[in-house]
Amino acid sequence: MATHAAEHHDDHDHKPQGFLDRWLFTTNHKDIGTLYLVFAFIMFCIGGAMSGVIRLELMSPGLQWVHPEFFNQMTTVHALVMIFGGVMPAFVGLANWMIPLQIGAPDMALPRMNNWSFWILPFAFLMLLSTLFMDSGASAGGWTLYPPLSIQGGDNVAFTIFAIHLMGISSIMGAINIIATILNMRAPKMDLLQMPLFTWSWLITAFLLIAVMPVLAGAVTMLLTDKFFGTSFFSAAGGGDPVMFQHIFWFFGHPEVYIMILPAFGIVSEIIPTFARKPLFGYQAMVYAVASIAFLSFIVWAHHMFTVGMPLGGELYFMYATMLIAVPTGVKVFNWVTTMWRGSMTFETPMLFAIAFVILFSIGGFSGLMLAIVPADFQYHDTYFVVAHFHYVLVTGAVFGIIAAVYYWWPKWTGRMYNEKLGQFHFWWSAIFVNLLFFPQHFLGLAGMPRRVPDYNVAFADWNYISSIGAFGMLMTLPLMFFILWSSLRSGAQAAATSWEGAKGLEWTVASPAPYHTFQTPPDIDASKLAHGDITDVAGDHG
Amino acid sequence: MADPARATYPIDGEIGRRRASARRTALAIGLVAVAIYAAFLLSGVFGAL
Repeated sequence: MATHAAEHHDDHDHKPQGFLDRWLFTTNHKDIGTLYLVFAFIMFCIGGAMSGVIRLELMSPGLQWVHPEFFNQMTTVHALVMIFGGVMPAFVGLANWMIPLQIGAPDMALPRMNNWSFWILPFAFLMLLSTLFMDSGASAGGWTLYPPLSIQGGDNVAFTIFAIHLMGISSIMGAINIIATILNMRAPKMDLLQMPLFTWSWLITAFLLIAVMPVLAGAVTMLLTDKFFGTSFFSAAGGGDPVMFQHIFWFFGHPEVYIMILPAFGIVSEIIPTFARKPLFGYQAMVYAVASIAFLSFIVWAHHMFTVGMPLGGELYFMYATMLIAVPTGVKVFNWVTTMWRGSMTFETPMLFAIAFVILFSIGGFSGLMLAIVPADFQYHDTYFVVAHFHYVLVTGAVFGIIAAVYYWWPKWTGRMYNEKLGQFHFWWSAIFVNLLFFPQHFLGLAGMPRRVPDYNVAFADWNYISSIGAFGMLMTLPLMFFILWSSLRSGAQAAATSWEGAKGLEWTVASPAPYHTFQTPPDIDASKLAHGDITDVAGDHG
Repeated sequence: MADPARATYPIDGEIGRRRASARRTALAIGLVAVAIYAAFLLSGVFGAL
């Protein structure tokens, strides 16, 4: 693999000079990646503020701070903002930055569509957030938008649905671009099974997006016509079936969970080999495990709705199919552990977040297995146990993956190292407070505390208090991370092209910061210098 | 190591060809997305009849 660092040091970047030309009209994958990441950070702050309102109200029993209706708006919009505005755009931003660099492509395949994909998002979220200022308030029926509750609002219904359509269009265009880029723009000799795991996980994620975002769009279109055009798709009074919405929604919703976690799997698969200084164990098994998880995600949707009533055979099928997901997920967890086994490990901030991901995401996976058990689910359904479960998956899973990725690739993006001590402080602070925040919610759920309520029995007071302390601690990590990255930009040490000793892959062959244009001539691929090692040799050893 | 003869492609040649291929891929995937959207809407329409 040729080192491109030297040749790019003398490159003239040809960046657009004006602010609008640079950021509004950009077609550069790195600029668009930066835009996505900045947007996601802003959305994390807004969604985080909403979670602060929720935990402030729940800090003690009784109604203290907000009206119950506003509390329900907070839970609904918090979820929509975090999922569609925070986690998904953050991963698309990482994809924009890293996929062309990892496969040796000069840019995304469709750069102008890339620009459009991003710039739809601010308008979508302006529409969604504007509903908070309407007389009717924002949507308050939960992010799942179950009718008839979700369409009993006023004008916010149309705004929310249109915003979801815009987010969906943005996601679909982003996914199309990623698939077209990976399938058509790889450097010569970068075969599919030579690609880094992050790129692989995104290829599979993009296919998931193409398959399920139109399903969500179809479901909310039918909600819209039920509300404003007199149809009765989901209205029992008109001959429709509200349960059908739940089936359609979760046919989107369950793969959506994997859309938010598979790219994090890819990130962890990049970071662990780097800091264990070993090739990734079981590269091909990891690829097939991601593909298996993606396939299984389509055939388990009704485990979200066991209590709605369905034939026993259906419940058994969805229970066993759901448990099957533990097999490929277990393959991944064991392979990460085996990669670390007897490695020369060091524990820089990205590695700490990656290891925490493996442990804490596994806790979320185990509670998911508990929820998959039909008779047990009748006890857990709609309790704080579910809230604890999916926050372990999405916060200590997806968000920790994003944070790990930002610290890992930050030197490549900016040419600056961050302050390692502050980074480690960020990690330990997060690790303590995130568990303080979400672990007690398991106990609350098992004791019967329902989710989406602003008030509760005094029996739940102590664990709620502790959970709220954890939430306020976690909220502090947003300004802390901002400060760490800001101070790195201002005075961080200069980063080398290969910013981490054990880092392998094409992205580490270009200078830090990555030049504005990269790989305008294709790189030579040397399989032994990829993160997963030379898989041909490994196959030969055992063949 | 890669074949040195393949190590450089002119922007307007190889990359142009790849981008054209990418546009065809994108069109095909976009049509699949539209078809899924239409299929779910139609399933709702026919289911409601």
